[in-house]
Order: sequence, then structure tokens, then C-alpha cells
Amino acid sequence: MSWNTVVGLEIHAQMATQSKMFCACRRQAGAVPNSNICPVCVGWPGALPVLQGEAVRCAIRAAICLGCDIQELSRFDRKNYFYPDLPKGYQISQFYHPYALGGSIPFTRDDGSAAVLPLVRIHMEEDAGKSSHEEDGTSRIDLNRCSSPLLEIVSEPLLMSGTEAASCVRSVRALLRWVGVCDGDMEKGNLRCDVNVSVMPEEAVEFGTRAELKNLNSFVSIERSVVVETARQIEVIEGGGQVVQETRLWDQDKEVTASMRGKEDSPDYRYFPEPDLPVVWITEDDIQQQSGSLPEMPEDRRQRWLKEYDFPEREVVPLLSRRENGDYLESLILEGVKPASASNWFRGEILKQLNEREERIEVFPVTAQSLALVIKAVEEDRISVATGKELLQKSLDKGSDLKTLLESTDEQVQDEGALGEWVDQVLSENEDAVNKIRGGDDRAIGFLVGQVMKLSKGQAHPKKVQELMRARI
Amino acid sequence: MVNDAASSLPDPGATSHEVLAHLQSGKCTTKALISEYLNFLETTGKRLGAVVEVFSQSALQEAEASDARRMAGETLGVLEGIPFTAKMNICTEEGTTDASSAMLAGFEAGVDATVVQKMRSAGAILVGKSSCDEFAMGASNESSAHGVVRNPWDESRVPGGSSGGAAALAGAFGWAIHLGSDTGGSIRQPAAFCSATGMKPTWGRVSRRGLIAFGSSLDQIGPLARDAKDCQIALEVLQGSDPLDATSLSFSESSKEPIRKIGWIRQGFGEGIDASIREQVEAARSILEKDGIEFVEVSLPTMAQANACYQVIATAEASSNLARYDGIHVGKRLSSNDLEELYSSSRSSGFGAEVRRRILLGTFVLSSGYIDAYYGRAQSVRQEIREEILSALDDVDALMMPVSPFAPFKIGERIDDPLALYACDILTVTANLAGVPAVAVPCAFDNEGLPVGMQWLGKHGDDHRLLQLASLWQELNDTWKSVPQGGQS
Amino acid sequence: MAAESGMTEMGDRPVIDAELVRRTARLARLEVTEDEIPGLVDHLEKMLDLVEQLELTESKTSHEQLASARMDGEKLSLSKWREDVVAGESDPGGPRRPEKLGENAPDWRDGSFVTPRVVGGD
Repeated sequence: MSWNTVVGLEIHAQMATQSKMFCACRRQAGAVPNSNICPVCVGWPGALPVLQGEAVRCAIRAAICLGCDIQELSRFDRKNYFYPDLPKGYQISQFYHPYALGGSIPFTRDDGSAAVLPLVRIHMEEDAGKSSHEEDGTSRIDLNRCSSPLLEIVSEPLLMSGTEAASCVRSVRALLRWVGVCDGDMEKGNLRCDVNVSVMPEEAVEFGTRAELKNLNSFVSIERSVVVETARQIEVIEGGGQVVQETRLWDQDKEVTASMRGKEDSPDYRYFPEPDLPVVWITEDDIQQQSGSLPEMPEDRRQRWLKEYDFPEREVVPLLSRRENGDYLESLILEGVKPASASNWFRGEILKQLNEREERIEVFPVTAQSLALVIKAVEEDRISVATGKELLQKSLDKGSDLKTLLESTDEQVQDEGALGEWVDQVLSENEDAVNKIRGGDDRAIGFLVGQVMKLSKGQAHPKKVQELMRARI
Repeated sequence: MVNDAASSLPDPGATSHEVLAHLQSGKCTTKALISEYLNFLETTGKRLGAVVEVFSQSALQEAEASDARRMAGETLGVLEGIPFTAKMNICTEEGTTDASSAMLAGFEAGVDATVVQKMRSAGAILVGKSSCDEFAMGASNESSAHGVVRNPWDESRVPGGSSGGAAALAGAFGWAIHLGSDTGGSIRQPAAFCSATGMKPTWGRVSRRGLIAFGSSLDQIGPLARDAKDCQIALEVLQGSDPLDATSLSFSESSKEPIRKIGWIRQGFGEGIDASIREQVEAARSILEKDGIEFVEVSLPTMAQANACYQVIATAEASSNLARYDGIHVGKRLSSNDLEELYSSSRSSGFGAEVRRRILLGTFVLSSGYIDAYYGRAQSVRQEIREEILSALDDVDALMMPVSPFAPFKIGERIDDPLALYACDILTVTANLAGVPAVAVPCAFDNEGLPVGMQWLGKHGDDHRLLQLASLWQELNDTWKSVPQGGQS
Repeated sequence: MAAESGMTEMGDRPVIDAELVRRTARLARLEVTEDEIPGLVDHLEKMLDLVEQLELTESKTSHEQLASARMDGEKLSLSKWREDVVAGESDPGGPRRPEKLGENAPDWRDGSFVTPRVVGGD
């Protein structure tokens, strides 16, 4: 029998605010445990949550990008359960009245076609803390993450493969990063995903029973867990068994899913309206304001770049992965660099440097302005490409100003008199090579040009050197 | 300075505003006043079990500082030099805040609740913490981890609850303002039992930040004092929106006109209300009528369901609010190597029987399969109660009924029958469910010499109008002026 | 989103028995001894007798009522919410120093809350 996999996603995205959602503690990943806590996020008696506006603004931007219907009134509810990383004994979430309904995630099918994953809703909620296990049999609780603002994006179930599920999450991450709502670092845990998987015979119309895979924190684990869980469910059914609706944990190393709850009852969260927070009121004006503050969206940028800059499609796609990358590239063009060389430099040199330095373009020490001077010098043949790259490297290594470095660099020698002297010297010192060329073996010309460049300490204009050389041989 | 301090101190039953004038005229120093009040707390206050902690040292220091400010001619607060206490469920920087529960024994909040900060800024001096029922759940003050509190008018009887300590202090002696909290009558019912004046403000008018939550949508902090004017001055200080409580708001009165037309709530005088209580409140009505106040009969049929509705909503919210006492972040822990065992053994040993009963009911009414039938239905009834009250208040300025259906009862009389205790709340919970303000005032003493109280409910925001009406009553009738014999130190 | 709930009519009153008390106590993380159970069953019975007074006269179902509760209450527009600013140590709202917050915890070691081994979690 042939089987289809049905996947539903619940994506948790931590919003990139300065402070936490319900208190004024710093929202910060990787800080010393419990260094960003206060009575509110520790759940002290008497402390009350106070929602911050910027989190709601972030949430509105996310809902606009995903095409949701933003609700004028929404409300927080309490989700009650006991867990050591949840100090109040309840999580403040939106259950009965989420702020956004509907919408969809654009993604690419395995066959390359464009598709959308419909959304049920997005709601706002607070994050929980973290527990880590000690060798002495205890767990240590770090509440730094507690009460950080989260979006939970809940999709409808859809026929999808593992790679397609990962593609959806990639798409959400790119969009949320694009509009500055979420940093999208899965390894830091500010983007996490639960995946609901079920299987159904190809000709069936009703969905099978689903299993929920919790807290997947990489694209690989999303992709692989869907594949592995699909296989497990098919095996269960074909072996005459039934899939149980349950929560399962993904073991990345063993590549298996395992049932999480044993004797524990199914959870009963006892949702009821949070009495400590008034109803959230989002007006049409608020939505307009956020809409107006959104940057140019990736698809619009793609269309514009294809038209204005004549970029080949394959070059554009990687440039759209992060908005700030494209902004930098566009600054180069605004500074007078030709679009083609801006693209070459960015995809070649800059992305390489960012990778090596494990850095984001926002903190890249070389400004687009000074880099543009170098690229223009190359374009105008005043320096060689190699020299340009060396200057960039030098500036990064020594932390020196690129513009100053450029100004103190000798421009390429294009004067035929000076070049002629170097050429003559090299030709006379390399008779073998000259003879080879004369004998029809053109490969040696590169070697000879290289010798001239060496002799001139890189200042000779290589193209002109070659021309002179050919004339003389 | 004043040499013979005692002779120039105010009368034991003096109000805070009388004491303010007394201090202003230089008849005694703040230090002499506070010193004498501390003496009252240490003797009568402790004998009644009404006060748990007394902050003698800091209070005397603040009194000296206040005297110095007065001498230097500095600007003084509106409650300059007035002693005040906070209920054991209101956080204070000094001392402990344990909500009278073993669960929170020794809990140091390290920070003042917003209301305490506001009282201090107005020049009032924190002198101690008053006892209450555990987590403010009770109507007799018999469930406090600090022992029973006694009624100053008959020490074999309960002072009411849950703000029983505050009410006993206010009933026994004057001068001070006592901060209490009212979830289903916890300010008004003990005020009535102890012959004090107490008010539950409009929900949201006074910040709850720093109040240990019981039923958040019902909880409200308010003052207990000698008379309505004291409450009015205190409310002026306490009210206002607080950036640390998102539900706190600034309110204004629905009208500047004094209250002249009162709705007489038929259900407040029906079955289950003792005849002696009915008679006393009816007599009060005649006095007010003679002064030209108009009365009309109103019927609030859904009030019959108010107590049931309250039991569901208050316990549901409490079950959630008290989940934070899990033996991990704050509160008592019984050690165990197993997390689940740690949770349940810590919580079971930390909470008293009544609190556990309420958590159990609250958990049940929210649980899967029952939430719609119980919690959902209660929300629906709450909405009806609210609408009924507001529509009644369209035609009248205030509504009137007794506070408690019966007089203060003997200590131990109802403790084994939780439902008999819940009956104390039947006339008070309505104001909490509707979120409207309510003021309780001494009405009379019954033939056994026990205090009888009555209350007025008003529109949202009409707190001061109600207090004005209460002041009028206190001009017409001087029941509130009495001080119990044993109350004087 | 609909809450999972079967019961909407007051008619199908649940049977209050020892098992229901145990299950509810487990949900509330309360220990109940066998001796206590009869008393608690009795108490819950009486409370449900009281709660039976609740009549649904509105046209809405109780589930709709639960969902709409407070939606007509106080609403706060975006500009009224707190600004996204990190508080300093001395800002109001209580201590922001971890050692101060740990002081009231039953087991606080090396800057962390300590519990018996937590299963699951992340």
C-alpha cells in the first residue's frame, strides 16, 4: 500500500524585544543563569504581569507578513500545569481569543513548485525557563528565559514531506527575520518547532491519528523526524496495530522517536481568562502603522532586482535570505558600484568573510561606503581585483580603515614605458617559455604575466602586460 | 516639647482626621502618638491576636523624622504621622508577608506593595502587620497560622474575616488606618462584626500590586478605619493607576451630586437573614428617610445565585493563583528525590485544610469535562449579576442591605462546617462579582451588645459618593463612636 | 478554538466519588490521605448542591460564555501598554538581584533553583 504523510506545524518564535513580555527584565540568550529575573518572572506572591507594547507590535508585523486576519480584541488566558521551569504554575497564553487567525506560509515543494501551508492562528504567549540535569541527580532551574515574548504559529495539517516541512519553517524564519520580529537562531532556541505527523493511505480522505514531536530545534531534525515517524507509523499500521495520539520525543543521535508520557494522565490545562491583564485592543491604525513600517518584502525585492539590476535568478535567491545582506549590497550600488560587481563582491568576498568571522552583516566592520571605493577602483582598473581583496583582508585583519588603506595604495601602472621595461626583463630571463609560446604552446603566457606582476609587486596592469607581451613575442 | 505626653494624647476612639488636627495643633508629638499606638498593639492588639508583627523601632524612627519635618516647616503628607497597618497578605519591605500561611512562613518580600508605598509617601507610618485567614480565605479568622483573632466587643467571638485582625484593631481603638483586602466581603464583614468602617473600592481603583492573590478578578485592597471620612482620606491616597498593575485605573465619580435616592434590596432582608439584623438596618433606613433620603424597593433575583457563583469563580482563580507555591521557587518544601512527590507533599503540608478544600474545588470546576458546566456557567451568572446591579443603579444612586446575615458568632462555632462559614458571604459577594464599590458602616448594637453593620453599593467609580453618604449617616448616628471597654490599653 | 468538554447541561451531574477526588487532587498536586477522602467527597457533594443553583438564562451556551468572559471588560490600546525598556536594579517592582530572589527559595545553590531530577523538558 502507498502512504501519504500529513504534517502540521506549531512554530514557537521568540520576539526580538529588549525586555521580556510581562516584566522589564532583559531578554537575553546565553546570560549567566538567573541573572535576568525579577519578582514577576519568578512568580513571587504579589507580583503582576504587565504586557509591553513592542511585543504586540512585533506580533502584528508577523501576522501581516503571514497574511493573517488580525483581531481587534484578543485576550490572554492561563494555561495551568506544574513544571519546575514554570514558576507561576501557569503560562500566560492566548487560547480562546488569539490575536490573529488564518494566514499561510509560502514554501517550495520538493518538485520546485510553489505552495502554501494554511495557518489556523497565531497567538502570543510567554516562554518558560530551562532546566539542566546535574550529575548529583538534581536539576538546576534557570529562569532567564521565563516570560520572554513568544509567538506560536499553528498550521493546518497538510500533505507534506519532511523536506517540505523544513522548507516551511525556513520560510517562516526568513520572513520573521526579514521584518525584525525574531532572530531565528534555532541553536539558541529562539525558534523552535513542534511537528504533528500522521499517515494515511494514498486514496484515503480522512487523516490518521497524529503523534506530536516536541521541541525540534534544527531543520535537519524537522526533516528527519518526519521521515522516521512516518516510517514508524506505517510499520505500526501494517503490523496490525494502531497509532496512539501522544507526544513523542525526537532523539537526534539515534534517529528514533520515543513516547514521552507513560503513566501520566493526558494533560488538562484548565484554560481560563487571565484576570490580571485587560483585553488587548488592536486598532486599524495600529495595523496601518506597522504595515507602513515594514521593509520591502523579499518577493517585491526579488522582482525589483531582476528588473532594475538585471541579476540572474540564481544570484538573487541567496541574496534574499536576510534583509540586512540585501540592504548592504544595495548600499554598494547606491555608492556607485555596478550591480554586477556589487553582487559578485558580496556573494564572493563578503559572504566568505562573514562565514569565517561568524558574524552578521549588521556588525561587519567595513562599511558599504568604503568598500564601494575599493570596488570602484577595481572597476576603473586603478587597482587589480587581487589588490582590492588584499586591502579588504588587511582592513579586517588589522582593523584599519579601508579608505585610508586605499588612499595609500599605489595605483596600477598602465604606462606603456614602465610596463615595457618589466616585460622586456621577464622575456629576456625566460627564453624557454618564450620559445614554447612561439612554438604554439600558449599556456606559458600566464606564467610570464605572473612573473611581471611579481616583479612589479602587483602594480602592473595584467591585461596591458599581456597585450605588450604578445606584441613582442 | 510636650512633657506630659499622655494627658495630651487624643481620645482612644479618635479618628485619623481628628488625630491629624491634634498633631497639627501641637497638642502632642508624632513620637508620643506612635509610641502610645505601639503600646496598644503590644498589649490589646496582641491579646486579641489581631497583630502579628509590630515594627516598633522603624515606626519610632519615622515618627521622629516626621516631628522634625513638622518642626522645620516642611510640606507634610495628608496622613502625616498617622499610624497604619497592612494585612499579612500585603507585601512590606520590612518584616514577613506570609498571608497567615505555613506555606509562606518567613517569606520576606523585600519590597512594599504599591499601597504601602503610597501610604508612606503620604506621611503615614507603618506600625505592624495584621492577622488574617490563611490566604484571605475565611470569614472568621480562625484559619490563620498565627492563631485565632478575637472580637474586641466579645473576646469569645470571632472578629469576622478574612481581614479580622485589621477590623479588630479598628474596632478596638482609633487613630489608625488599616489596609485590608476584600475578595468576597473580607473587609466589610469583619468591619461589621467589629463596629469599624470599611470599604471595598471599585475593582481596579486601587493597585493590587503587592497583594498576595486569592481570586484576582474579585480581590481589592481597601481601608478599614473609625469612620467614613478616614476611609475617604485613605482612599484618596491609595487610588490611582499603577504601572505595575495593568488592571488598575483612574476612576471618576458618576456625579458630583450627593446620594439622595437609595435602592432597598429586597433579597438582602429575606430568608436566612436574622430578624435582629433586619430590624436594625430598617431602623437605620427610617433615620435616613427623616433626613430626606428617598428609598425605593429593588429586587435583584440573581443575588440568590451570587454565593454559588462566587464559590466557583473565587476557587477557580485561587487554584491557579496558589499553584506557584510548589516547593521550588517560593514557599515551604518537603524534600524528596521525586519531583511529583515533592510537589504534592510540600503543598499538602504547607496549606491548611480550608485552603486545600478550595484549591480542590477550584481545580475541579476548571477541569476537562466540567469547566463549561461549572466555571462557564458561573461566568454567565456573573455577567447577569453585574448587569442586574448596574441596571438597578440606573434608577437609584446606591443600593442598601445588611453586611452579615447574622451577628458575630462564637469562636469554634462554625469551624467544622465550611458551608456554614460560606453563608457569611451571601450579602457581600455581590459587590465583588459586579466589581462595584461598597462601604460597610456600623449600624447599631443588637440586644446582646454585638455590632451590626450595613452596607451601600454604588456604581463603578462612585466610591467617594458612597463615602459621603456614609459620612452623612455617621453624622446622624453615633454608633461608630463607641469603643469597647476592653479595647482601651 | 474549542475546549475539550463533554458536559454542558447541569442535568448530567457527575458522580462525586473517591476516584474523582483523587484525580482532582493529583491535578492540583495535593496529597490526600484515605482518611480524608470521605470528608472531601462530602464537601464536594455539598458544594455542587450549592452550585446547582446556577441557572443559565442567557441564550449563549456556557462554553460561549466562558470564551467571551471579560471580552467586554476593560481594554487597553497599544500605546497604554508598558514601553519596551529594560529596568535597572533600583527600578520599582522589587529586587532584581538573583541572590535576593533566591533567598526565599527552599533550595538555591550556585545561582540556581534546585529540584529533584526533571524528566522531559528541554
